[in-house]
Amino acid sequence: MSTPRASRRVGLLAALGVLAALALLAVFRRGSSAVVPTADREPPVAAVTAAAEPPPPSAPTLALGVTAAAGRRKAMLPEGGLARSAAEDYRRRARYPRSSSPLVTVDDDPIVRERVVNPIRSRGPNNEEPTLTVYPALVGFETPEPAVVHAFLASGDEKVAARSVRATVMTDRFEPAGELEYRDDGTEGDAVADDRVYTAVFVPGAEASGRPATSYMVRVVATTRGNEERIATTSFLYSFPDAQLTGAYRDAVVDGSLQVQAEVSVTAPGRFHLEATLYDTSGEQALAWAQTALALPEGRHWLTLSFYGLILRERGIDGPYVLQNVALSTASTMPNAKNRLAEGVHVTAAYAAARFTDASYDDPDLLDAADRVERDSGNLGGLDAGG
Amino acid sequence: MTLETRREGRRNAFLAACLLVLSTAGTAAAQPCLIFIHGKQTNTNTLTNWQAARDYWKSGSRDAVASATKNFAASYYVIGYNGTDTYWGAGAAGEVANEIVNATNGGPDGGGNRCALTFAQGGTFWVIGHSMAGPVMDFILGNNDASDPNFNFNGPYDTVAARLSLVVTFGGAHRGSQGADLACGQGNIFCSFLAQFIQSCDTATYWLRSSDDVQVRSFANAPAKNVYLTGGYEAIFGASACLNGEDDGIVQHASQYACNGSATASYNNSNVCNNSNKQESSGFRNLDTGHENHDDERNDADRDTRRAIPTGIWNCGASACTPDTVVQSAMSCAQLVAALY
Repeated sequence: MSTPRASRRVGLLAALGVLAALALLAVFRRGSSAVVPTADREPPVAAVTAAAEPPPPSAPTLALGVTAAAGRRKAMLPEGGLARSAAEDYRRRARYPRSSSPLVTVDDDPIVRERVVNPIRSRGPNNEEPTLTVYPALVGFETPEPAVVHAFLASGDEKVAARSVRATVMTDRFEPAGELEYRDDGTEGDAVADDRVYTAVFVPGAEASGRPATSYMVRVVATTRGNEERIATTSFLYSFPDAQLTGAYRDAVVDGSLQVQAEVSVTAPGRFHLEATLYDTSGEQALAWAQTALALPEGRHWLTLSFYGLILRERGIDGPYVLQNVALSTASTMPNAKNRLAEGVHVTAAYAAARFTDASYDDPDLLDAADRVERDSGNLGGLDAGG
Repeated sequence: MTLETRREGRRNAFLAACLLVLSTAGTAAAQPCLIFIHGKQTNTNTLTNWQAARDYWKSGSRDAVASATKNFAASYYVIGYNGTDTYWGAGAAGEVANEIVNATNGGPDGGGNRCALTFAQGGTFWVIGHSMAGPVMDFILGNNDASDPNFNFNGPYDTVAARLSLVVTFGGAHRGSQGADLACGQGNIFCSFLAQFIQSCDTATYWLRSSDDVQVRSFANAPAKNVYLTGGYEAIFGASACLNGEDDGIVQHASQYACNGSATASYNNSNVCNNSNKQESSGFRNLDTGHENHDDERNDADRDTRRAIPTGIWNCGASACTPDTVVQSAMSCAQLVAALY
């Protein structure tokens, strides 16, 4: 005989059973993950197991030499989507502090990379030659040196003479800052006469006063021998930094890391950023990068760069090491005022690589991020197995 | 042990199993809150009127927010900022940073939308950014530590970096835009004329040019969290002829994919820079490229072919798809995001 209590139990169990079945169905549906709902009624887009169509027979893959069989493979997103790869990346990066990271090759040197000048080029109205190429001699200049800018016309690889090359200069606040006439006579900043590389120099005026740094845009108009115009625009940073490196450095191993201190002379209070790269003595192996930043009052101070010990330990290259590129900037405002790069300024003592820590830094933010982001890894892992 | 006791025990075990299944299903449903950040604007509408920021992601019945969130199955938050400011300005990076923190605290966006879980509750947060949102996020995530040059310059960058899981950019102007160069007087009259339709040479545009001295990488370090890169290769008639290599009509591949070297280098889908040749030594990762132009990327309007790029995300069988392989025949950037979690 069924009591009311027993009936309630049966009812409860039945309800829970239905819920459980629905939950299991939901898990299985997530597992297949075949449908991405969309706002309207477009055909669903394949999600994790994307239903890619094979490329047509004339697809570029064939032209690239990929076999047709390979071209017909179904394209899929990786298991775990972005989340899993991001988690792996964060755990790897957590081994070093944010303020110091390893360099694999000289090409990785971030200080050098940011200072490479990349010319801007422009052709005629219908893409015809000659091409006008414009560029500053440096990405940034520091007072009191003049800014030097170059321009040339070229047809193919051959530079051609211009009838004239002129430019207007304005600041990043669109204030007019001057007119330039480029020259190719070996004077006033032009290194070589008649090499068809035209040069002009610019010295900031009143428009730069009161600002640690100003970006200047140079709009160059070159007139060809055939009286055609070519227009191209470049720009550069001009800085009035509030601190200078004095040239004094010292180094020590502290807590298993290599600390290099650089002395700075501050002429006005502000926030100052220092970064440097460490190489072996041959200059062929870039080892590590480090940075620091501090608010400093006027006067002489030491800024400390800590090259994380594990980086040097893992590279296994014994010292001495060379402080290859050192960049100081006044970072009180944007744009930052950047000092000239100091190169090869200091050689450390001959520390053995084994002297540095072999401990991972274990950045807590990155490790936490790795754990969290893995929860977004879709239909993978123990949940599906359990389902 | 009586029969009744054994039955009771079995019932309890069943109940426990049901509860476990239910709780497991809840955990399995974990998905990120998507935070949307628009691109450059010619006025401050998206800052002063949230609906303008929301509409940025729509085109007719198409809605990138709906698609990316799997028809709102994932929670979302839409940020509006001053798209005429410099990428590093208080109206741009500062506003964005503060809004991201608000989102991660469970606060509402201008339309009342909230992330389902706060950071304290274990929530995860992905930023989905278009165009200028690229350098805005590069600046924030590259200045999150006290040792960085512009640490917390005008907002809580450290909190943002700690709380975000990752960023996905659509046509991000990470290295500036040749469209901005054209708007600021670069090049020939034909190109500049077209550029005027795109944007005027205002303060934001000045700092979005491809010149080295205005690049975000000059004022920020590698992003604290990964920035995943997708974009478009569908030309805009006329404008694309003025850009180098493949482009989406406004931003060239060298910038969409945050390449090291020249910001105006000519790349195609096969040879665009891989993950080892980015503007910073870490933190930038390729996804793919779609046959979408710069507008299509943000509004889900064009669900078109997607192609693999070097070190991208698509696999063909057991290995990465050969660059330029067609990997999808009808998928937008927003739909790609939905497929990633």
